[in-house]
Amino acid sequence: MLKGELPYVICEINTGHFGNLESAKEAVRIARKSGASAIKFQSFTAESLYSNKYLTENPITKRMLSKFSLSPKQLRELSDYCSQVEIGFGTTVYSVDEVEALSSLTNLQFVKISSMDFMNKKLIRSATLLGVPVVVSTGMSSIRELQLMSDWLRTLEADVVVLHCVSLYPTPEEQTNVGNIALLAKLFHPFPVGFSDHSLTSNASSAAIALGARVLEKHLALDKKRPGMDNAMAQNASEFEEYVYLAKKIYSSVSQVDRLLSEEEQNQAVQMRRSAFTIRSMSAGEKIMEEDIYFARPGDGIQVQESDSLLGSIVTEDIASDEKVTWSKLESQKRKAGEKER
Amino acid sequence: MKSYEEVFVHVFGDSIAGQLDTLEYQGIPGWDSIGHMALIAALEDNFDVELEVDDVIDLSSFSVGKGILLKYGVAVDESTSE
Repeated sequence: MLKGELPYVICEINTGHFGNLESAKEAVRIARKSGASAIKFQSFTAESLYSNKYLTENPITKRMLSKFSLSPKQLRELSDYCSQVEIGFGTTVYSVDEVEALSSLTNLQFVKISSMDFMNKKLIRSATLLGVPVVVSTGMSSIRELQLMSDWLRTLEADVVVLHCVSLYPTPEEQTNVGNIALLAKLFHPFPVGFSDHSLTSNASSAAIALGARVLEKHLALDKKRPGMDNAMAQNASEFEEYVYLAKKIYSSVSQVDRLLSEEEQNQAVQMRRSAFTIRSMSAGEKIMEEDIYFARPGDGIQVQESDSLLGSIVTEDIASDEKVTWSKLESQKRKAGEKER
Repeated sequence: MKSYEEVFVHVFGDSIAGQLDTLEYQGIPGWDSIGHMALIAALEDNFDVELEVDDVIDLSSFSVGKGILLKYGVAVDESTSE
């Protein structure tokens, strides 16, 4: 599993740095300040994404991707900078060469396989050789494809994290399908699951955490007004900071599975539960009947769940009307029997 | 050759004709990242220029685009009067 507190929040900068190293470092600082666990870059080149034919026919795409891609040397510098700033570093790989270029990095926390390569066994196998967790996204995959890959991934003896993802940018909330988190958790057990959230808000991620996601990925844009590849669905710095804050808050409210009662809550029972009070004054020797008592706050007397033992008890000392009933003024056969059984 | 305005209308449709002066990236559904690539391609083809990638990124509105094209020797205001 990824090192760090849960939920593990990955800040995806993608091409938001526009190929500028100083902008990339600014993104690192924003991610760190926001409380994200790691920042993720992209190792792509134009050629590791598109065919030569496509790039020839779409020269602007080629120019853009070439400008936005980060060289191994730049990725190393960013990795070192992440160490210095104390935030995890990860990157998405698209070729075996890009995997190999990461082998000497000392601060590589994880390597990411994008949805387009979810079934690229050669690439995934090479990524596992880096000895860090491999985070795989599952966008565009059918249930059959998920089943096939879950079987295969388990054969690798690798540290894998599986992310639910819908490859729509942005993803409308009603199409985030975060109910799939539980499906993936079952299908890919024992691998941890998470959510790569391409929606415009935090809502789907909040639901994902509640459903068991422990790793989240969300895109950051340094300037949403500039035309960029994913600026339309990325968060600005303040939105991202709020996203991380909410993710941590939600996780803190759902991560405790065992039923635990704090001392504070136990004390509340004294104030908020009901105790038995007499409706009328009762004399020694009388038997307590249902019509003789009522239950009301505070709960520091004989509580409603003890009414079986209370009813039929004999009053041993006079009790005034509207007085809290205590066992010291009663003799209860049922209570005695219960104590003996215990 | 189309005018600067005509290129925008050609890429994004007739409905933007009356709002060109205030048109910005993401201001209409069609001008997203994909629409931006189509716009840049159309501008480059129409004016026979090749924009630097930084200029591609900076071209965030109709009015900003005029200044960017001027750097490449394309006087947009003149072209629109043709």
